[in-house]
Amino acid sequence: MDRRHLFHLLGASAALAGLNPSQLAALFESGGPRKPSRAFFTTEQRETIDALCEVIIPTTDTPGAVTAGVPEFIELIVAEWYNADDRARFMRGLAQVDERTQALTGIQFAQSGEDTQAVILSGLEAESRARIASGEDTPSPFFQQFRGLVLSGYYSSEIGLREELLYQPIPGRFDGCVDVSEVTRSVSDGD
Amino acid sequence: MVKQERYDAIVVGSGITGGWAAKELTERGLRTLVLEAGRSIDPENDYVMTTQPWELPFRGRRDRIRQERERPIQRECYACDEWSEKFFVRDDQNPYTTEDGKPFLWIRSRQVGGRSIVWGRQVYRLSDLDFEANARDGFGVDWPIRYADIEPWYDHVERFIGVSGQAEGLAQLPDSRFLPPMNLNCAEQHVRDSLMSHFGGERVLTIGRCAILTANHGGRRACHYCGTCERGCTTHSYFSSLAATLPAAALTGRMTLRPHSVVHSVIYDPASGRASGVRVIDAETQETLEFHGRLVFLCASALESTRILLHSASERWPDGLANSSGQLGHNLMDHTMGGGAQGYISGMDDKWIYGRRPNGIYLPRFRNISDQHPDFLRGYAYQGGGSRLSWERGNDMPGFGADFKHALRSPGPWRFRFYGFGECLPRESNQVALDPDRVDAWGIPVLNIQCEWSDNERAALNDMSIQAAEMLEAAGASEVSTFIEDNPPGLTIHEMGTARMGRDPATSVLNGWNQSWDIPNLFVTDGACMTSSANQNPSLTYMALTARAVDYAVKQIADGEL
Repeated sequence: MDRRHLFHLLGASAALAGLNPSQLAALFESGGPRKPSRAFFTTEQRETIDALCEVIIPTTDTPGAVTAGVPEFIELIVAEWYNADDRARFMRGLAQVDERTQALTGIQFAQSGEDTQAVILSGLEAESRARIASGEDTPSPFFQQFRGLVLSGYYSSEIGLREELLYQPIPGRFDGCVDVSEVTRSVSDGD
Repeated sequence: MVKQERYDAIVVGSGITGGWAAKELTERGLRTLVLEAGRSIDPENDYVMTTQPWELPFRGRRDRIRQERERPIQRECYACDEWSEKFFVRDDQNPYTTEDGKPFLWIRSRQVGGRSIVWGRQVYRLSDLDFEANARDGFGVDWPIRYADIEPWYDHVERFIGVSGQAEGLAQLPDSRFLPPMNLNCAEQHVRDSLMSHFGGERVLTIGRCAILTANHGGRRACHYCGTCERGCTTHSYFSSLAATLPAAALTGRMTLRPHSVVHSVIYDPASGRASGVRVIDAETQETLEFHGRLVFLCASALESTRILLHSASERWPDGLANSSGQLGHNLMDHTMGGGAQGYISGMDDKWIYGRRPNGIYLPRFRNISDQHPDFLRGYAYQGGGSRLSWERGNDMPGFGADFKHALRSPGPWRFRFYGFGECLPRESNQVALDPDRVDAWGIPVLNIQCEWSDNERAALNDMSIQAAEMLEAAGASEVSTFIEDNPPGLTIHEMGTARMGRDPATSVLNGWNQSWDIPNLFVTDGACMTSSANQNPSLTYMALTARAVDYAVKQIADGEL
């Protein structure tokens, strides 16, 4: 969606809300995603992460996780937000993805075909669900951990909010009961 | 040489009550100094209403490591997030102490506007059910006022701040002067209707009453439903002192507002028996200053005002200024929160909402009104509401890939949640005192806070969850589950008491006009004055009491009494 179109969509409600031109402009100025202050992952790890992101939220009629900058978000979180335990769990799980793919096909996850990638990820998911179902009080397994990062990274990105969902920074009014057909996609709460 | 300046009145604090004191004093002709411990806030630059999630480094997840270092307590507040954490104090500069096993979370702001910049904006009147509560069951002392005393001041305050809500005609929750209500959503309307048919008029679900404009009002714009008020509102659609009362005071030309002014103590003049002014530490230069005035209004927040009085001890007032009753620091209260239930509402998957309403539902107290529950005194009310689940439900769904992504485009099921807030009994053992062993960044002794819930509060929390589930089942909800959160006192951020009003100078700090029994030109009008807590969000009552106290004080001056 181009910015002129967005401006047209939002201009009326934002103007109604009494925003001045500089406030209105601020709604459309993106500070852009922050990169981690140091390169945390290796090139090989980045390739695996990119591939995992795109399998989980692929490009369809809207851009997928990679275009939305989710891999960079994940690198920042793992490098600068996670505590040591979460980071170690993440790194172990990431290494396992390639180990399993290697054992199955002899090549890296990122170089594998879609079918192989889906098999690997389905296997991880099944184990993850079994562990959660067992009721063990353990930190969430790698599949849950990784997919959770992809979801929160994607749906907080400009692409995820503005192109995948219907995010209006300044709705201008509230209606508590409208037909879903009037709102074709989930309206994000912006958090 | 200590610098000195003289004013008609000094107001300590620029938050929700300080702003009201400033407005009412200056509009009655008094040259008023407003002292604020924190910095100035410039909405154009400081408010982050238009900052989008993708513009923040951690996309709203907060800077975990920095918060652990700088705001390990403040971060427990939902509003102290990656957008708004700057509106909360740094805990490393503003310490306090507690006893082992008795946690208390003190959530604070130091800035022009105080916590009114990040407050929850819910406003409810107290009723005689509340003002008579202590007299009825014997906990605490009797309020020196009744609803009729404060009613015109509720009117006065509401007319100015703008309160949206729905009149319901309930004796236990008197209606305010309302702007048009925000809409209930489909699920909430369904639950309201179901409760009406199951409980008659005894349990009334109504839209939250909030200080958010649903129509242009007093030069401020109607809400544009961006949904996250605590980031600061550049259209001033929710009430804050910064948006409304302080500008009104400034308009008179009689207000001097001084930020970076940490009040050290109130100066007592033994000759006159009055407060002659306040001693201030400039937060930037550490310089000590004195300001003198005919009236002193403490509006620094419940615990800060009490801390100032405790720190103003002298030979004449060894246990703290204005503390002949010995009650200063005692009877600390907060509201309990977090007993409730949630469930899913079916049959309206073709309905959705438009816009982000910064407000939920309210279900007023229904316990202990005409009969007495066997397990607990007083009452509770629910907030909460209905919403459709968002993309976050993806975390609990199986799958990945294109189908998974497209499934999350549509809104999820309607979930409804009742979340209770309960009254806390006034008890002398819940108390604050100066900690002799620790000072803050400005060298002022910190508070030691000792506060814990009693069995009465716990029993009410338990009943909240049971009744919430019963109501959801009456509304036909599925997968109903109850919860009882274990929140320490303080986290509801309705901390109050410690300088209570009363009828007897032997057992209370303030009289029925928020005036010190001991020092007639000293008034305390923030939450410290509260004699009981009721279960309603208290800020509206603080504002009304402040306006009422100013009116009284100025008349006393005119009558030559002050």
